This record gives sequence, structure tokens and C-alpha cells, in this order.
Amino acid sequence: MSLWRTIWAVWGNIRRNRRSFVMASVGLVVGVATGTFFVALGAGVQTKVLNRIYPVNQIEVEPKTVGLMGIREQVLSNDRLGKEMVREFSALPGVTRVYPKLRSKLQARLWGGKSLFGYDARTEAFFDGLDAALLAPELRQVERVEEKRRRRALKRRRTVVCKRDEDCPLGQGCEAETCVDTEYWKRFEHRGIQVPCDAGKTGDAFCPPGTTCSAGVCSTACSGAGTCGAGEACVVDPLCTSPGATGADSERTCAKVCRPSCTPAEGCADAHLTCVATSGGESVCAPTECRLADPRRQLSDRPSDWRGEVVGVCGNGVPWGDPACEFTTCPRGTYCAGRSITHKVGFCEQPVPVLLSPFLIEIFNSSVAESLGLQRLDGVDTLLGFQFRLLFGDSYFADDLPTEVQAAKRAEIVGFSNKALDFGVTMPIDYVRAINARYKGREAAKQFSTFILETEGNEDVAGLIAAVEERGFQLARKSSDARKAADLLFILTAIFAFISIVIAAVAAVNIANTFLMIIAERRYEIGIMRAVGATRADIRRLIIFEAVSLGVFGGAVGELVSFGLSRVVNHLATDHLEVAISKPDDFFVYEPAMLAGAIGIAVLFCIVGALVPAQRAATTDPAVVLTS
Amino acid sequence: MTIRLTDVHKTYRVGEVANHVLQGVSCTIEAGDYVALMGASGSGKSTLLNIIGGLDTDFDGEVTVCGQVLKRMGDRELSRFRNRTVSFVFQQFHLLPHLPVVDNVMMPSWFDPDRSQLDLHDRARQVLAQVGLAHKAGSTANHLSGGEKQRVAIARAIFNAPQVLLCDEPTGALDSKTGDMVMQVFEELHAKTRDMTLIMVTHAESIAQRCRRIIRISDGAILSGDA
Repeated sequence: MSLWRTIWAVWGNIRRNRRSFVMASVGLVVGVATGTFFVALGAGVQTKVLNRIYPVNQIEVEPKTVGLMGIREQVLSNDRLGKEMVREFSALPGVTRVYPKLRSKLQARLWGGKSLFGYDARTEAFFDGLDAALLAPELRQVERVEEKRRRRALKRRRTVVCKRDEDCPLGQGCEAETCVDTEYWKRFEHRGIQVPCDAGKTGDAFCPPGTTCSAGVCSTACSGAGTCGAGEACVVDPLCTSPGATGADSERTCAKVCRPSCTPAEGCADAHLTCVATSGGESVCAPTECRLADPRRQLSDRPSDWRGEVVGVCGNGVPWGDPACEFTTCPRGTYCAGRSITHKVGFCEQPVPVLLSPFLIEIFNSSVAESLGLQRLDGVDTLLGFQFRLLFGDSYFADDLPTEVQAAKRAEIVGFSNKALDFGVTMPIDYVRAINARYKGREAAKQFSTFILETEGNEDVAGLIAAVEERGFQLARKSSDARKAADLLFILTAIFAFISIVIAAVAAVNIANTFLMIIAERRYEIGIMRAVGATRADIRRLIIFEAVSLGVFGGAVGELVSFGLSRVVNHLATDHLEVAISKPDDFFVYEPAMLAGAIGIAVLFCIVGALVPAQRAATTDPAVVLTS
Repeated sequence: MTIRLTDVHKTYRVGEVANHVLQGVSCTIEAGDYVALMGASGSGKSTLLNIIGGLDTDFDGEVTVCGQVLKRMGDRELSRFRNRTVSFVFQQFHLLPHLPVVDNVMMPSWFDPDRSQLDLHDRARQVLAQVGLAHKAGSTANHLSGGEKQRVAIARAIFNAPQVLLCDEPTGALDSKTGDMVMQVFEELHAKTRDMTLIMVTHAESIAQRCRRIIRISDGAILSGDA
């Protein structure tokens, strides 16, 4: 019997017995729907929730600690937590990249939020630093999801005409006189922070590794051409000869430093840098010096208190020092950061880009907001671009540092990450390195707290964990929790998949029964076919093809039911779950292989269910049937 | 020589009870013969027909049809034998009621992998014309009268131009007028295709008398007519 003829006959048989087939496929539909629903949910939670905390190919390790008299002590010496350990981890089998993490070793306070809450909230600030390259994919994904959510909520968007960023709503910037969404995730990078130093007193001991104290700030030292990075020039520090005398003579010790090259016509790409000519005739980007009217008002929320005046440049073109000089403020997007909260002089700096943990937002919404009578926060777009102030060296819990060294910085929220500090903020690692060096010395900037190891695939992770344990490290809490959660999720998914297979197996019994019934009804038809030349194999093939059709139909309908249910769950989650940045737009991942596998299993169970009836049909004795 | 039966025995067993339906039947039927197998109910005539047609292979003795020894054939060969060499017309027609007449007629071609698919419809209409039902080709089988159904069953049986046509009481479910019409069809067929052997099981003397030769069976043995 040809394939076409078989399909034609099967189609006719299914049409004739459609009610029986529909009833027989109910169990199959339920089984496939259950299975695909939970497997897709498991895959979705793994991919969109757990993998955001730690992808399966990443682990975070920290030095092992032991309990001693009620206090946990680190086993490893801090000396072993530097770049050498990064190199050692990089050499482990399967490791493709190592991202060190650096916690701050300095007390700090944070305040801000007047525009959100009506008054400035104040709290102790904890912070750590991470490599921007590690977080960029996650930040971009979260921002896209939130943007989609916001657009859905707004239904349609109005085009806002603007001249400056300030004319645009929060989360948007002005480009070509139109407000456009700002891609905040791109801002999570080192955007310049000047670390003050005093070469005459401490030398380079309080500068970050690889920098030297020159003209009162830590800069990358160089010895000549070719010793700086691409696009940089090795020049006598232009700050030494800048028109504004910003520090004591001892701070004006000059060194040759690396500065980005520029042309006077094009200027510098970074807003906080100014293109200046050096004594050697080269043009380089140097930090823009500025002056504050009252350095103690740096923490004010009024822009006039922190925009400052640029030193050395008159807005009306007259020479610096001329009484007619009209001062200009720090460029758009920057503020004047004094060397300390008692120094009038400093540099124009861009706000420190920081990330918050979604967990922090959830805690705020569920506990803090109500207690303090504050509004709950609704998603990323409320906070992206939001600025607050950080005061380094000040604390609610520890002794304050002298005010002469306390520094105020503005910070800007540019994203959310599960890798961010749960209670605090996370910034690019170079900031933390600079702050630790400034306040605790160069050694504090060298010793990393934890390391995130990235492997090519999940299969390398088990061996890697053993290797790092041999070196005195253990999985960090979040990484360990993520792995446990992944294991639990796998077990739950496996249980539900097993239940769905049991349902499908029970359905197979029902299918067998249905086929037996159908075959009993069609025994004359089978007898006729045998009488006119059908082989046993032809009859068997007909029944098996019907079973395959039933399996494909039941599997496809089951998958449609599952997909429909998943949309309902997503909809309910959108409406009823607490706002959480870690909440994905879609909790489900339907992979083609999974869908094909589900239909394959459905077909398999139908074939298994139809085997006995097919055999019975094939062995129908036409002589008995046709003459009875 | 078309059909040779040698010492054919057939026994049905129901539990411990054995019913010897055929007891040493031997006979020969020549090619192109038109034979009536006659006997009372339970005499074994239908069983003998099923054995000749390869529907029943559980027997003792030897049956050779058109040179093919049925006992030695496997399922595939027997199916091909039923498809190409012999054909059946049953008392209860056994059409597929949900299918159009033309599809019922073409049914043997479903199981004939060598058959060209191009001329199937033409052949079906040709054999329907032979039985006088060309105009009913598009009707579904369950909308036909009894006589029409049996003529469709005959058309299906001759579709593959068999060498042996086996008819099991083809007029048994029809009134005498319709039965007579069906018998006329058989006679015309036999007249036109003289090589085709026609064996008809009947217990009606009037039907048997219209055949060229009568083999009478009683209690599983041939009483007369053996050649």
C-alpha cells in the first residue's frame, strides 16, 4: 500500500471516527500540555531568573572562612587575593575569563530621593565594584524588558520636543531636539574619578596600582612614547601648568602621565575632560578643574550648589584672571567634585554609575516603603538616571574620617543586576579601586574580595569547583544559592515531566482501548481489505499511521494548550506579582527541540497504545469475519 | 487445469469438540469453467471456497490454484494471490459504505504496488459499465440498493481481471428478481471472459442449474460432480 494511499485511508478513518479519536486524545493533550508547560517554565526560570543571578557557566568564589570563637576568620592570606590569583584561576581548565570583585573598605553615607519621596532619605552606604564587561549583557536585557513593559503601560508614546536633557522625562535624553530613551546600560563604565593625593607627604602609597601622584591627583605614569595605551600620549602632566592653582606646592609635583590625545577642534569625547595644549605642543584631554562657592554645600540638591565654576576658562573669551571674566559651570552631565568637603577646588566629574540589586527594590517595596511612609517604586524606569549623593569617610556606624579628607560624589543609577550588592550599590571596579587606594592605601586596592569564574560550558563547572576548593576558596553565597536553586528547579521540572509522562502513559492505555474498540467496529472492513489483497503489514501500518496522526494531533493541541496557559500565567504575573526588576517579561521558554520532543513522546505513546490493537487487526481472520 | 484439490481436510475446534467440515475433498476444476458448489447449510461449501481463495490456510491436504500451491505461500504471497489471481463476491456485498462506488471498485489497486495509478479511474468506470452501473460511480455505497451493491461488489471483484472468481451465495441476500439480474451479470461476464473460472456457492437449485457444472457437497465430502 503506497504512502499516499495510506495517508488518504488514515484521513478517512479519522474523519469517520473523529469523536472516538478526540476522546482518546484528551489524556494525551493533558499529558503533553502539563509536560511542556512545566518544562518550559523550568527552562524559563532557569534562563530568565537563575541565569541572571549566575549563568550556569559562571561561579563566584570567595576565600574560605572558618568559625573561631564565634567569629569567622578567612583562611587565606589577603596577599593571595591579587592579580596573581586572577592569573592562577585563568589557567584552570575550562576557565575562559575571570572577573575579580572588589568590596569597598571605607565607610560612606548615602542620601537623596527628594524628587521621589519628598524629602532626602539617608542611609549607610556599602558598595563594591565589578567589571563592566561582566554585566553589560544582563543590564541591556533588563533595560529592554523594562522598556517593553513601560511601552505596554503607556500604550502609545508622545514625541517630546526638547533642547536640553532637562526638558525630557526621566530616563530620556535630548537628541536632535527630540527626547529619546537613554541607554543607561552603556553608562556602566569608568567615567573618570580624580583621586587626590599629596606627593610631598604620602607619595604614591595612596594612589591606585599603576598610577602615580602628579599635580595633586593620581594619574597613570609613563616614561615616554609607546608606554601608554592606544590613543593616549605620554606628556608632562598639563595640570602642573594649568591656570588655576588648585593645591599646595607639594601637590604640584609633576610627572609624565598618560592622557588621551585630542584636537582642539574636536575636543574630548568625555564631558569632564578638556582638550589642552601641553608645553610640548601636543593636545591632550586633561581633567577640567573647577571651583565651588561653598564646598560644604556639595551635598545640596540644588544644581547651583554643585555645578561650580570651571577654572582657567572664561565664558566670554576674555583671558583668565581678567575682572570681566564670565565664569562657566561644569559641562552638561558633570558636576564639580571638590577634593574634599572642605576644599573649594576640584574637578568636573561625571556621576559615578551605580547598579542596584532587584532584591533591594523588592525589600524596599515590601518592607521599607510602608514603614517610612514612602511611595513604592514601579520598575526600572522610575529609577534609571536617578541621582543621589555619596559621602565617603562618613558613617552612622563607625567613626567619621576628618572632614578634610571626606569627599562628596554624585552617583547615578544606570541599571539593575542580581550580581549587585544586595544592601548597597555596585559600581565599576575602577571606582572602588580608586576609593580604596585613596582612603586605605594602595594595598587595599589590590586585594580582591571574590572572583567570578566563567567557563565555556556547564560541564566544566563541577571540576572547577573542586579545583578552587583545593586553593582555599569556596562558592560565594549567591553562587551557591543559585546552584542549589538550579538543582531544585531541575528536580521539580523532572518530577512534573515525569507526572506528565505518567499521564501520557495512562492516556496510552485509553488509546489502546479506543483502538481496540475502533478495530472491532471495523473488522469487516479489515476483512475486506485482507480479501482483496492487503497484507498483515498493510493493516498494521494503517493502524500505526492512525496512532501517529493521533499523537501528532494530541501533541500539537497539548502544546497549544500549554502555550495558552503560559500566556495566562504571564498576564497574571504582570498584574498580580509584586513589581520586581528580576521578574521576567515571559516566564516560559519554548524551545523547538522541546516542542518536537513532546510531540515525539506523544506519538511514541500512541504507537505503544496501538501496537496490540494493530497486531490484533493484522491477524484478523478474513474467512471468519466475512462469512460469519 | 486451474484448480486441483487433493484430499483436503478441515476441522474446526471449539474447546474439546472437533467439527470435521471437510473430509478428504478432492476435485479438479478446469480453467474457464462455471461451477456451482451446492449443498445444505454447514455442508462445507463456503469453507471450501475460502480455502480455494486463500482466505483459509488452516487445512490439511493440497490445493493448487493456477499452478500455485497455497500451503507453501506466506502472507505476502497469499495476499498477492488474493489480489491478482482470485476474487470474491460475498453474500453480504461487504462494500465500504462511507466510500464512493468508484473507490470501492478500485480497492484492490490499493494493495497492488505494481499497478499504474494513471488508469485506475478509467478501469473502474469500465468495469462499472460492465455491470451496468457507470452512472453510479460517484454515489456513496450506502445509498445503493441491494442489487446495485452486489453489482458494485462484482465490479470490484473483476477490477484486477482475476483468473478465478469465487462467489459465496451472491444472490442469497437479494429478492428473486434482483438475484436473477445479478446472475445475468455473471453469465455475461463468463461469456465475455472465457478464461475466467467462476465458482459459485449456492444452496438454490435454480441458481445451480444456470451453471455449466454442479459439484454437490454433503457433510464435508463431494457427492457428485467431481471431474
